[in-house]
Amino acid sequence: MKKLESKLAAGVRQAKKTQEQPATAPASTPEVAPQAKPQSGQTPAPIRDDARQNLHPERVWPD
Amino acid sequence: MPAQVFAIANQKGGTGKTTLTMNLAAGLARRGRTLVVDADPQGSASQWARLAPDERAYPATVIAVAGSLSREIGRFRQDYQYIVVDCPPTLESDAVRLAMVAADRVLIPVLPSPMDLWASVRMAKAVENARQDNRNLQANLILNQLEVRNALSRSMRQALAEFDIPALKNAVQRRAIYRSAALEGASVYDLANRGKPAAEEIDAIIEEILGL
Repeated sequence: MKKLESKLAAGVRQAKKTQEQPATAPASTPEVAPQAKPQSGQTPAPIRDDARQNLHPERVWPD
Repeated sequence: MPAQVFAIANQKGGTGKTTLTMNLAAGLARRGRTLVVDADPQGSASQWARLAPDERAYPATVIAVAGSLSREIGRFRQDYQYIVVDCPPTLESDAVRLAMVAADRVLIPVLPSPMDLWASVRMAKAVENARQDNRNLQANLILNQLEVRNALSRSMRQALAEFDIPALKNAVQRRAIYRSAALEGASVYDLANRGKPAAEEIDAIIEEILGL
């Protein structure tokens, strides 16, 4: 009986604690390495942090 | 004298909000004019009252409110002695907050099960928030479907002490008669001797909340 009571009470305390925590942890901003400027005549390096522009990172330009 | 408003709320479904609402309102109707406000889109309280036969109407008026709850409760405050609001099982809609802002007391039915108990912690926070707009709001947990011979049920009292909301001394026991009453569109008061023990416990709850 005592064991049941303490388990139930511990659950309540845990639920309270969970509620008091913020819903999501603050998102950390990943550091982005500066892109090297391509020299004229060179193929620009694929943009690695932009999912839409980087669909085919190995084939930036059409063949 | 304006009506005393009781909101019956818990964001957890199946905790017996409508059963408590309808039997509490029937008991209150024996003491004064009583209105049930069905604020739950499921419309269970309204359906309950519709099941009552013509020769024995449900003893309180039941209205369904889909619009502004505060405005509707305010409109009826002078016409009734007691108003009982059956809230929807969610904190996502504004209905529960508005009911608590309009209420004098919120009753939170809690089942004697670990998950129901732990989920009810969110209600304590909702009550705290509602008090920003209604600082006189009183709140009580009420044990529902208590099984006196069950160890878990007996252990609940101790666990309820962990909440910042006090629990009522009186509780609702698990009885088949509550389900029968719903089927007949009645309250336990209408079921003669079959409903007597349940009616007595509802009366005890009413006396307790009116005396607080």
